Formats: sequence, structure tokens, C-alpha cells
Amino acid sequence: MGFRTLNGMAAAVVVILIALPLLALLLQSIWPDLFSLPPSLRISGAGFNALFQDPYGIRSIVDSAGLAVSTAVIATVLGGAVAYLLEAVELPARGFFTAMTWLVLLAPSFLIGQGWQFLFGPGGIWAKGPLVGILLSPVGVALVLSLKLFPFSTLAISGALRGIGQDVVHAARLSGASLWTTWRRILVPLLLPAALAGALIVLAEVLSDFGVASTLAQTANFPLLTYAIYAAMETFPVNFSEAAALAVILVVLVSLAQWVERWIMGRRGYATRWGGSQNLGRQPLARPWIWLAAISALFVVAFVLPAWGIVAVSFESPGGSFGHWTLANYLSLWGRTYGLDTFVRSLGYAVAAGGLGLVVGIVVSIAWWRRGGWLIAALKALTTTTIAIPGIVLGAGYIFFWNQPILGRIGLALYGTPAALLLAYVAGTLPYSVRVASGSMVQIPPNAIFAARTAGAGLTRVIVRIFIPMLRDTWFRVWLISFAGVIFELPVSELLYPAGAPTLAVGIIHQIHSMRFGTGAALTVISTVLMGVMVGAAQFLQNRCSRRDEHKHSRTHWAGNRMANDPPSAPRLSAPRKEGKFSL
Amino acid sequence: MSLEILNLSVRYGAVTALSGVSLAVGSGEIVAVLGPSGSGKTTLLQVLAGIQNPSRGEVRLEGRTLARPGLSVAPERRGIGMVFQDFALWPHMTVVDTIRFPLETLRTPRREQFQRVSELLALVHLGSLGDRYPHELSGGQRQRVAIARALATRPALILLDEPMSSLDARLRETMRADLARILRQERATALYVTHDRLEAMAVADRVLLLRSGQLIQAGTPSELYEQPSDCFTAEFMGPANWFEAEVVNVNASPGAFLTGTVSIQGTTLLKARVPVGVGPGTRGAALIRPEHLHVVKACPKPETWQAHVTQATYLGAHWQLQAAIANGPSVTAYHPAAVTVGEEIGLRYESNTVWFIPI
Repeated sequence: MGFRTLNGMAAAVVVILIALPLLALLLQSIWPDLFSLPPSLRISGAGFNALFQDPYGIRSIVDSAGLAVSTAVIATVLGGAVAYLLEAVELPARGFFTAMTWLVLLAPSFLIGQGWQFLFGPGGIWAKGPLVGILLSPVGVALVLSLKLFPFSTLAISGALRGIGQDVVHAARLSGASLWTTWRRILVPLLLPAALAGALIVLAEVLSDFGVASTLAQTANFPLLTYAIYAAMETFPVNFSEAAALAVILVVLVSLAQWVERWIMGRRGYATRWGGSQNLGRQPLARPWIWLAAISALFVVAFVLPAWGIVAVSFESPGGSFGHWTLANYLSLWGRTYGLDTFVRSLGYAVAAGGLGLVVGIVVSIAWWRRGGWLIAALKALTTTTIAIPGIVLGAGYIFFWNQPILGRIGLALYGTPAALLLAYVAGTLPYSVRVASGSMVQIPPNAIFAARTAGAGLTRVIVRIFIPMLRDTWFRVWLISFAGVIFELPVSELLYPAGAPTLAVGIIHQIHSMRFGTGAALTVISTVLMGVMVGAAQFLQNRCSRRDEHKHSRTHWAGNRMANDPPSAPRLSAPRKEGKFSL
Repeated sequence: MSLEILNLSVRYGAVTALSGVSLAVGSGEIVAVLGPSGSGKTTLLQVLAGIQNPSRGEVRLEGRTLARPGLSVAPERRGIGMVFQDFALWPHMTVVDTIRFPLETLRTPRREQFQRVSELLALVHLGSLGDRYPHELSGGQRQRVAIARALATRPALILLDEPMSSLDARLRETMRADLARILRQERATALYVTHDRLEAMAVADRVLLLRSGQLIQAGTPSELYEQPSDCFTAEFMGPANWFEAEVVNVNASPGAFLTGTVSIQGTTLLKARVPVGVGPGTRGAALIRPEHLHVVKACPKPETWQAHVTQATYLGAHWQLQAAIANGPSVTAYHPAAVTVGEEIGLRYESNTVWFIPI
């Protein structure tokens, strides 16, 4: 196999997995009968017309936009405060709170939404409490999403704080500025772009979110854009054109937010590190316990409380009142559709999608690494932009493309089969896996590959003998994260799961919508525990393998200091010299 | 004296970063603090800037105590300007805003602020670039902005922390002369930290050499180069050839050193300069810099050694030779013309340039 074949494979994969479904979606919104039999090229604004005449559709757009802006503001305030506590002051147990930030970030939003619903929703633990009215309202949805998404702001602002060298502050202080002036005139303006970028990520995440939209917001009778797409495709009367129009609007809004975010962060002045190699020092806190209590309270509300809601409800007796502990919900999961079978099914999908996604990610990233012609450049652009495509839109694109009657005639109508779901999972994780795999390629010095090729190795041998041994650990992590992401994936699963074979997230949502809260909660708890054990075990095995290999060879600086993407440096003109010293 | 450093020590746990350093810097004087990595020069600068506190000793500026154990005046109240290694410019401020910032914090009247800014822009040759942001400037231009900011309030002392280290070799040479001009034109009292001896010699009136937190020698650049107090200083200040030597006799002479005769390997007798306090019979090393060894035709002459060339490297302006002296050490010398390896040559030394260091 040569590099030309590889480029062709990479192109085919990206076109089939991402480009064609998205194109089908766009075409559907303009030519609604294009995929009918016989196909018609009649341009119609029917989708957009239907949307603008449908009060539900319009309301979902307005709601989503309002929710996105308000959540971005609240999440930025919360995230900024947490970033300050984690990076700028000497907070006790900082490592623990950093881990909690990641936990909140990685927790699937529909589980958080479900947890809140179990606590305050109809039939919940505190269903009659004073907070029910607030939670089941737009304000409540905005608060829950802010508590779920503030880690994006924290990460953005923390990164900016770490990017500021302490000399920037010293320069201000030596210029006569007090601590307050230094914050006001120097640090806050330097952190503003990162705060704005974090806010835009939150904005895009709220617009794309399906988890809270299909749980809490739905219960609160607060229609959101992603759920409107789902409803247009899955509830009677089905309106594909309107769904496509909604999806196009969603993609435009999300892409706009992402584009502005990249523009802000890409501006040279802020992307570079300024002010010396040493980070800002952490200042001692006057009353650390007050701040410790505040940040603890935040994480209790953001994570512990909804998680506790799920665990508590999972032990509640079905139909009984809260407080009577039972294992009945867990026992009911065996041998029931939408029970443990959903976990086993999702596990199979996750293993397969993780593996396939990794192979595809490696093929595409090697093609990128080679810096091919225009085709590769176009694929690169497409793959990186699709990181902004919400899962619900990807799922819709898969329905439009793989459900075409014309594909049915040649036996390729994959919609409704496990293959379509698997391919959509792979497509969903592809932008991420390609980014990480490409990042890992940069670690290989070009001379290491060149040496292998001059020794007569072809592409296959280079991949097997050079790339795989060197990048095994990184690729394993890519697989693991894709695996974990697929297990709890909701929007794509909801649209594409084969009839009668639901996946885990579909199963959990189904139980909740059927008012079997205890069963849904038990399914959530047992799946989370099992997945935690599996991810932990995989990580443990991988660490052991890595440690064993470290004894065999060093993994750093294989062939010189220059990395693959470094610009060629000027040759050294003078060698260090040591002259004439001689002891008699 | 403008700046007085009295018996200054800084300890980080068990590590002593500075040990008993004392120094007085006169008004308008430029002093270079020179030393290898880990010698304590950055620590000294940090104590002066108020970033680090001393464990012992005292720092005074124009008679006012800035730092001693238990007392540290806040950086913004010290009246010190500083030029940082990577300039520490603020990416959100234009050149004018950056230079104005210290004047604003000092509450200088607005008109005077702009007057001083344009004066400084002219001084550092950045007149037309006032509206630019740091990322729109070259390395040399950034450095000039950093210097202008440090000078803005006419502080009693300017600290420069390896300000050339972020610049490429060619720019560094241009900036050396420029920096000296700017500092002298402003009559600034400056402490200039560097590990580059050429920079120190080009910019400073006086050089302070540190090693392992201790002051090794302080003096004018020529004193440190020509009359180093020990082998470390001699080697740090430039390439050196060493000969085992013993003082035979000493003649009184005016100035900071004596002249005398030293024997090399117990046979050759050299006229040399000898530090005060060294008498006949003192053993040590004779230092001859490569530029003071001249290649001559290989024939026995007074003040000439027979040698054969073991290595010859073309360096553009001259050839650098390694030559083994018959029954003596291998030495380095420079020669304007090509010399072939293996060639027999004579090496003539200038007797008034030999310096004796007692060991």
C-alpha cells in the first residue's frame, strides 16, 4: 500500500461518514423531493415556510437563543470564579476540585438533567418543595445547564491564567501599579478574550445540547431547537423538510459561535505567551475556609446533588414513597426490554465504534501528516469544522442520506440497521480522534520516519514498526474516550437505533418517559459503575504495559530535538569553544 | 552613592543563592552583573526589584532602605524601572499606552505624560510606531519599548535582566551600542544582568562577577579581562592560555600591579605583570590571551617558543590555531593567514601582556 492509496482511503472515509450525510441534510432543506422516487429538482422553501408558520419551531429557536446567551453569562461568572480559585490563589485540595471540574465536564448532560428531575420533577423526591417552580422553568433549565457547562469557562480562563507570565505583573508593579490596578488594567483585559471564548463554547454547547433539552426542558414545557428537530422527525406528522431547515439554522448558529471563538483565540497577540516562563504565583487566601465552603457548595449542587438524586431514586421502591430502600429496580433490569440489554448493546457498539473510529482516525491523520494536496486540505477543513456539528444534526443527516429509496434499490439503505448507527457513532467521534491522533503524529521526529524509509520500509511497515509502537499509548486513550463517549450517547442513538434494539441512553430516557424513574435510575447507576470498572481496568492494564516498556527503551527524543511540524531552523554558525586551557 | 548593597544574602531553604554581596553604584553609573547560570545574578535583581526578600543584609537606594530582613518596600513604591528578559510587554496595550502606564500610575499631568512619551519614542527611535501592539513589533522594537517604559518616570535605578537574550546574534550587536547610548543619554543608573561577557564589556562602566552566589571580582571591563583575580574570572572573561609558573623576582612599579619575572616549567623566563602582595617564590599560573601570541617563522628568538600546529580552523577574520609548544602546553593563537596542520612555527609572546595569578 502506498501513500496515494492511503490518501484515497482517507478521502473516501470522510466523504462517506461526514460529507455526504451533511450534504444530504442541506439538499433536503432546499430540494425537499430530491430523494423521492422519482427525484424532483424543484427548489422549495417548504421546510423554512413550515418552520416559520409553526409556533413550536419558532419558539424553540427563540428559547434556544435566549437560553444559550443567559447560560453563557452565568457559566462564565461561575467558571471564572472557579478558575480564579484553582489558578490564582492557594486553595486547599486544589487537585480534588480540578478533578471535580473534569467530572462535571464529562458527565453526560442528560444524566444531570435526569438527576434534577428525580429531585424536583413531578414524582421526584422533593416534588412538593419550594424549588420545583424555579427548576421547571426557563430559569431552572438555564441554571442546570450553567452548572453543567461552567467547566468550559473554567478551562478557558484557567488556560489564560496559566499563559500569563509573572513578569507581566512584575512589570506593572514596578511601573507603580498597585495590586488592584494591576488586576484592573493588566490581568482582566488579558483574561477577557479567554472568558469570551469560554462563553462562546458554552453558547455552542447549549445550542447543541440534547440531553437537558429532552429531559428537564421537556418536563418544564420549554421547547428547544435540538428537541424540535427530533420532534419534527420522530413524532407524527413527520416533517423532514422542517427538521432539515431547523438543523441548518442550528448548524449556522453553532458554527458562528465556534468561528467567533476561534477568531478571538487565534489572534496573535493573545495566542502567544507573554511575560516570562514562570507562571503567576498563587496568592495566599485570607480566609481559605470560606472559599473552600463556597467551591464545595458549587460542586455539591453541580454534581453531587443530581448524582445523589439518581442513586437515591434507584433504591426507591417502585410506586412507593421515598425512604423505603429496595433492590427491586435493579432486579427488574434483567430480562426486560429497555433494561440491561441496552447496556450490553451499547457496550458492543462502543467497542466496535471505538476500534473502527481509531482505525479511521489513524488513516485520516496519517494522510494529514503527509500534507497531501487540495483534497487532503479540504478533508482537513471538513473534519475540523464538523467538531461543531451537534449530534442531533448528524443523526438527521444520516437519516436523510441512508434512507434514500435509491440506495434501497441497490441494497444500501442502511437506515434502521446497526451499521448506520455504528457509522454515525464513528462519524461523531472522528473529529476528536483525528485531532488527537494528528497531535500525536507531531511527536514523531521526521527523521525517525525518514530513517525507516531509507532503510527500505514501505508505508505498511512504517505504520506497523514505527507509528504503532511509538503512539500506542495515545491511540489507546483515543479509543478509550471514544468508547466511553459512545456508551452514553443520546441524540444519534435516539434517531438511529434499530427498531426493537434500543441503546443504553435510549433505554434510560424510555424508562423516565414511562414514569419508571426507579428503573431508569438503576440502569444509570449500574451502567455507570460497570463502565467505571471497565475504563479503570483498561487504564490499569495500559499503565502496566507502558511501565513494562519503559524498562526496555526511553520514549523521548528518538531522533533529535526537532519535531515534525517545527519550522526548519537556521544552522548553527558557531560551536561552543573551550580554548587553550592547559595545566602543566 | 545611588545604590548601596550591604552584605546581602538570600537563602532558599538549604540553598544559598547569594552570600554576603556588597556593592555601591554611583549616580549615572552602569554596572554589569556577570556570571554563569546559578551564580545568583537574577536573585540579586529580584531582591532589588522587590520580588524576593533578603535573608540578611540591606539594600538602600538614594539613602532610603528598600529591603532588609523583615522589611520590603512594595515594588510599586521603590522608584525602580526594569527591563525584563522577554520584555514583559502587555499585549493589549499599544506602544504609547505601555510607555504612558508608569506615568499614569504616578499621576503625572496628562500633558507631561504625552510630552515624555514622545521624548522617549524619539530616544528609542520608535517615533512612528506609537499605535502598534506588541505582536506587530519586531524583537528589537519590543526591546526598545521595554526600555522606554522602564525609563519613563526617570527612576533612580534601572534594572536590566538579560535584555538581549531574546534577540538574534546580529540584532544583539546593534542593540548593545544602542542600549549604552540610550542609558547614557538619560544619565540612568543601571544594573545590567547578563551571562555574556561581550555585552557586559560593551555596555558597562564596571563589571561585577558572581559565582555560586559570591562576588568574585568587581572592576572595569579591562581590569577583569587583563588582570583577573583568579582562573575562573580569566576564563569567564575570554579565551585563555595557561602556563605553570613561579615568580622569580618582582620590581616595584606604579599602578595596581607590579612587574617581575616568572619562570615557565622552571626554564623559560618571562617578563610578567604580578598582583600586589606577591613575592618571589610564589607558585601559580601565567595567563597569555590568544591575541597576544603571534605566529612567526620557526627560528629560535628571544620571547619565542617553537611549536607545531595540531589544528587550524578558518573563522573568517582570522585562523584559529591549536599549537603544541615543544616541551610545553598546547595553546590557542590567532593568525591572519592560512597555516597548515603539522607546520612548525614560532610563537612570540608580548611580555607586557603576561599576567601572573597565584594559586
